[in-house]
Amino acid sequence: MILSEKTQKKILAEKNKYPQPKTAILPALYAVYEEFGYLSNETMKETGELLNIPFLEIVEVASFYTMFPKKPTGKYFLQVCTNLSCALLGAEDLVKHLEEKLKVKTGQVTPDGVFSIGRVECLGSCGTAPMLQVNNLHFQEDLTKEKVDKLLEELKKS
Amino acid sequence: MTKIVFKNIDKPEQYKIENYIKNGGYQGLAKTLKEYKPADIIEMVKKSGLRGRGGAGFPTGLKWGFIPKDSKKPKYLCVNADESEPGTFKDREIMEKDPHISIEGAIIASYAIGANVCFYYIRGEFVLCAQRIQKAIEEAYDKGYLGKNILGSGYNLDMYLYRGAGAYICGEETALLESLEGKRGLARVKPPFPAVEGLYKSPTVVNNVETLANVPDIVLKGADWFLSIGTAKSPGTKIFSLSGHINKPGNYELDMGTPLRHLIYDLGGGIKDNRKLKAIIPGGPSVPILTEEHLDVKLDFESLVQAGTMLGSGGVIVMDETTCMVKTALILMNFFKHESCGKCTPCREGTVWLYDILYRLEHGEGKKEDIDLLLKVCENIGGRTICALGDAAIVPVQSTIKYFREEYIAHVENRGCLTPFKFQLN
Amino acid sequence: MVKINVDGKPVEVEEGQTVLQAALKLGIYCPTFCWHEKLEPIGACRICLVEIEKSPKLAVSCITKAMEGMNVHVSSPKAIDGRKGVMEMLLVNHPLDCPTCDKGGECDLQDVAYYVKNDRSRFGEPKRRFLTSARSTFDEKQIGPLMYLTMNRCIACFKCVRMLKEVAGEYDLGAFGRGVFTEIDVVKDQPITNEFSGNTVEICPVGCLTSKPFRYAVRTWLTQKKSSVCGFCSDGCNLTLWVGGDKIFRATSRKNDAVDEGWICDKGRYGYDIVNHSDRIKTPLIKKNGKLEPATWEETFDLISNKIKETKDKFGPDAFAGIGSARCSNEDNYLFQKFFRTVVGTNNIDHRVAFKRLLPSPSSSSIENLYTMTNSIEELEKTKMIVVIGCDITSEHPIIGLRIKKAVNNYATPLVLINSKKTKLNAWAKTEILPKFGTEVALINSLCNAALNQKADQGFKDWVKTYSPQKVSEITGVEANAISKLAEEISSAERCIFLLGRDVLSHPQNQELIDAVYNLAHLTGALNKPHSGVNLLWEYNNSQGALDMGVLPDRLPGLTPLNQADYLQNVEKVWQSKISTKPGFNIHQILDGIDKGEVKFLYVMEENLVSNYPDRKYAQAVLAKAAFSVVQEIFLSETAQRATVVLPAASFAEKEGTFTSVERRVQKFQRGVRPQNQSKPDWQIISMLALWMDYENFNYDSTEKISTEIFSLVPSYLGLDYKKLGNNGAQWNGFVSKKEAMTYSLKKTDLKPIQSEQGYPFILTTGNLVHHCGTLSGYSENLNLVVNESFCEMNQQDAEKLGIKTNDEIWLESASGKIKTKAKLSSNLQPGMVFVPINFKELEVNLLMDKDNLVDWIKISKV
Ligand SMILES: Cc1cc2nc3c(=O)[nH]c(=O)nc-3n(C[C@H](O)[C@H](O)[C@H](O)COP(=O)(O)O)c2cc1C
Ligand code: SF4
Ligand code: FES
Repeated sequence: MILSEKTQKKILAEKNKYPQPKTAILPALYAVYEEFGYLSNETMKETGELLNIPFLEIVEVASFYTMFPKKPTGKYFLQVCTNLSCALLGAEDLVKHLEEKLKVKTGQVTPDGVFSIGRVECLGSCGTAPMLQVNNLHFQEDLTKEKVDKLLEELKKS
Repeated sequence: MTKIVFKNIDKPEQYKIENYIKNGGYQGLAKTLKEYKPADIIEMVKKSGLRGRGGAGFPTGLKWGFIPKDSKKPKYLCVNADESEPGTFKDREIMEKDPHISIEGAIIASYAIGANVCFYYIRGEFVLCAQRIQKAIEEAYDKGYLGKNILGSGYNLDMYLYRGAGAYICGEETALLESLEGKRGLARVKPPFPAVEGLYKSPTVVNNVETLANVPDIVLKGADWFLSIGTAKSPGTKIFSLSGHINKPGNYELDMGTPLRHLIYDLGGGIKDNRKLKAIIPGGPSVPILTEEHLDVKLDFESLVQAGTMLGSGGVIVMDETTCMVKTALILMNFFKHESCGKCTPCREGTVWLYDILYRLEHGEGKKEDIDLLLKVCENIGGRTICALGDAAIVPVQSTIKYFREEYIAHVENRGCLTPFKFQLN
Repeated sequence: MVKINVDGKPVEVEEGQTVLQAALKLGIYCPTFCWHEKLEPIGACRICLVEIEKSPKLAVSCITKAMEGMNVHVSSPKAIDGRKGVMEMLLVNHPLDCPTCDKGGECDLQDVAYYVKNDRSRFGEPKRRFLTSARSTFDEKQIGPLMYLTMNRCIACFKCVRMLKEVAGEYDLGAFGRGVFTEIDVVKDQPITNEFSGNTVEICPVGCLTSKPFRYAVRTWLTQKKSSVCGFCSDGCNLTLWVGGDKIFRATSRKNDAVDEGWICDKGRYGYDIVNHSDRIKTPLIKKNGKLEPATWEETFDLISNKIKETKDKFGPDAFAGIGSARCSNEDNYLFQKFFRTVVGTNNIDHRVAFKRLLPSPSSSSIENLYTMTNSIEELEKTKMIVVIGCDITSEHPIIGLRIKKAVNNYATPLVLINSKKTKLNAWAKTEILPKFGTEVALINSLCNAALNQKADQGFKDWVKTYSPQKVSEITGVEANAISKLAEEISSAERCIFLLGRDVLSHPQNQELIDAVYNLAHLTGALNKPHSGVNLLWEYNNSQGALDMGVLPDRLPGLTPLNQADYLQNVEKVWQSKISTKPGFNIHQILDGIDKGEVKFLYVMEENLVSNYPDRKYAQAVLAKAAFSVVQEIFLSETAQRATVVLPAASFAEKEGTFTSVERRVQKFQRGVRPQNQSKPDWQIISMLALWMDYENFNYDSTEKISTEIFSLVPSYLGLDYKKLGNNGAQWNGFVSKKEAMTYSLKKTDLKPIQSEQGYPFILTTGNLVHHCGTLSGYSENLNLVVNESFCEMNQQDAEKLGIKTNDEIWLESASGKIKTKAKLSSNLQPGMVFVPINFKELEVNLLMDKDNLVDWIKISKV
């Protein structure tokens, strides 16, 4: 198995947790996503095997939700919210700023594999717009150019 | 102003169960289990006039009452914490700062409808919320508010945190259920309503976080107390999420019926940089916009309907004079087309069509006929879809054309946008 | 019942039925795309919008329940306007490639576009495209051996995926993504190959899914539709053949709710191409100097008739033997046995070539010897428990398999599988029992033991007590608990249907096993109750008919014993001939007779003796010895190659007649195309031959005349009317319907443990593949696109011990012979068992078989 033992255990722990087995698909995919940062056919196949659910159904479910990238992203995947509230406070400018600083376009990964840029729909952070999200994990809110630059520096270092 | 949901929101470390209990938490549950039968709770909530805070405003007690009493099937409660309506971030604050209030409400609701399993469905991006809720659920188990024989009452309830994974449509109750069943989140045709055939084909109630957060106090203080707040038909309070061109964005819990002006100027500190107000979305982009002339409208279900819009999710987005309305519609249409589940033809195809036309208009390739065509396409979507996303998607187009038709015409005549939507990042 | 009005006309529908169903009942057309009669409605496409008075919005009729007093308008301006709007939306992203689309002319989208009369689109933007490659024009891609996908045309009705999941339980086609980019597709490395895949092509409302064999072959309006019945397995699915000239272009379903509910398997759908196969025998052939040379029909008739007269004069009628066919029609088989019983005058006829141990001939007088399906396929939905014994349902009876899945899914009917190997259906089973091969009788006895009640006398009780769960557990490898629990479940089931398949029929203790199941059914009360009973599932499209027509050495038509005087008299009157009451030779005796020189003249009608007889060397040797042999066939089979005279026969698609399906349903099939080359229908060949010999009462100029004779003579078929058989056929019930009143006496059926053979550690089992049926389907190039290679499936651990991996070349060797094939490891088989499909004539699996050993033991080695 490509999945680590820890991930396998996590998936198996979800398997019989819910009133019906398929409910475990999303939580299991989270476990895979946490390990790899994206979902590949191989890892999804293994997830299906562990859950005893057809591979096809796993892929169907995974394909519907946007939080699971289906191919590797940068180590830090920066997703900028470009929905209305953020747009009103400079989200487009933020995307442009990132593209210029990192010298890649939205949807691409920097050559060193450290960063990639994406756009997302409203993340419920409108009161603290503009914002971006790192790896579907951390919200960076109330952004200014200065704050973005500092964030990039910090991430690069870690 | 009364505070119900937010009464303890700014108390230090309110998210910890000790603090929650110290500040009066779980007394509503204790009282429920000690003094009331499930039917009493439903009756009380019915009487209180509490209406759903998730967007549709359906009377909560009535919804609970639809759960068939004699059904042998298990019953489920699902907490709808998918909060994805643009401009809305109230549930997030509740979950991050005072998670137990929603959990307590959910336990009482589960008891009322006879559910022994409750799913707390949080949108995947809310990571801190998920952590806080997870921790809170564990604490509640430890203290005996969840699990077997809750507070010695003989009532059992298991609660699962469940994370969505990036799909606005999964906030729609039936799509949420599909998602919970481990499927693609396509909305289901109603009827059958979830109360009859919901999760796993069993009777199910779906309630918004804020709705449930009101419940403990209703139990503790009584329906009459709740009725004394807000307006006669919209009792209680509502949290409004204020964002956009506003000096003091954030969440504000207001008595129902508070004038919009008070929210924007007194609490929100007025328009940013002292620019002129142009438009306000009062309840998330699924509801029609308002303009300056509507500043005195009262924020409650009925008054907003009278003003031609709706209370919606309470996401108030403020736009100043420099905002292009075509671009606004375009951004929102991009959202709806991206989030359409793709099940019904008019929504799947129509949102893309509308987007294409708006895109052309914004980028200087619009024709005069396009404006009427937009409205015709909207007509062809409205009322013909399974869920309300289709109906919502046409709202930004229809309402911006209604109030700013000349701006659309200008886009055609000037071959593009004269007020380029370029808000600078500081 | 609910009363509503549709377009002003009153109609009554059942509670829970939809507005659409009400409209359809009135004959009012309302377009639909995502709705399908047999699928859960999802109300997605919205084209079925109708106006309902007092309701503010238009309603989707396919999912809106009819409510008392509703006033529905399908044809009001508002409703029409709504559907126009939806149609416009559907065409927004639909490529207007009708002229080049294979669906043109039978496309629902095209039809509805005409129906809504809106020929102008306001959509002027670029259309969505699913690009398969930068240079592709149609963006089409092959998603399986038999299927293409052109995603741009998809209108997202999801019927394909819903059908596979809801009805077939298959997961090789899915819906991915969301919104306008929702995509139907397969997953990486998993082409669509499930046996029901073709149904998705058939129900696709547009040209999104097309079939490889049919696409671009012909426009449907240039074809004619012929009502046929599938010629492969015995389930009897109804087919429509689409023909043009002498070619069959495709086969689709022809819904018969009692049988197939409109679904057919891919064997039936794609196997039609055997008819137009270039290897068909073109002319009659006569062996000259050891070589088969073309001849005319006259020459062959002369030769055969002279030979018959000569042999009969010299050696008497019992020097003849005939082998009929479970693939030929009732009319063919009826004339065949009539020919032997009257023209020749012998009862030396049989058709059961593949069985080592023959069951006693079925009989109509006692319940235990009915040896047929005593229930119907539909009844599977009405019973309360289904027990399948020794049958890989999905491979052998796909459509019965669907009905079982439906029972499990829709009615939560518990399914019990008792098989020595795991099958595809196991995923649906509530209980799966895997006894060691050869110990099944003990298992069933033990169930009887646990289910004992007052129906059993002391003798039986004492005997069956020796089969205690503990003891039987040791013999069978099944846990004692599982046995007791299952016995309890079967006993308490209100109704129960037992289905016995190929592995029971060919089991070394076949009769004991069947008797044991009858015991169990009797003890648990399932034998005489409605929607309950024991069912033997014969294999081929007309296995039941061949039995019914009396192609048996000891049965006249209608399973009547030879010596049943009143019937005999009647038959002799109609046939105008005396009939011998001396039982004839069965299949084994026939071959032995040839071997010993007693039988001089062999006549084989569409039966590949060499490939199917469970001892290839013997069959070959015997055929070489036959003084004179006639083989009537559609392909030059291994058997035909050894004949003195070969007669080209017409396949099921080139003739008309009736088949009797596994559930005793007599179904009429129409001729699709003219007989290819010089071939003739089997019945015609026989009737011409008899006329050649001046037997005037063989003057049959149509099948109808034969059918009419059958329907007036054969007891169970009495009263059927060829003209009135109609689209759904008719089930003969006769004595089966009386089974509830029949009595049964328990039998002591002892286990005879199978003896292993020194040096040959594996038990050989055989059967059909999901995509093939007998050796005939091996001629289908379409089906061979899915699987065309034989293999030997074996247990993983066994293989590991021998150092064998999947796809390794291996030798299979028995005391009788040796063959080479590829290994396929699997966990479905128990250790010590192997499985080889019988479908590919290239792999001569019966070389390993010895007719005298009831179990075939082999050894395996790597090449
Ligand atoms: C497209 C769509 C998205 C929705 N998203 C949410 C959401 O994120 N949160 C929510 O509470 N309700 C949402 N709703 C409303 C729910 O369908 C449902 O009405 C609500 O959860 C009921 O809870 P309440 O009665 O407590 O308001 C959405 C509805 C639609 C049509
Ligand atoms: S309206 Fe849109 S989002 Fe809602 S069910 Fe239909 S296609 Fe899906
Ligand atoms: S047929 Fe009714 S919605 Fe598709």
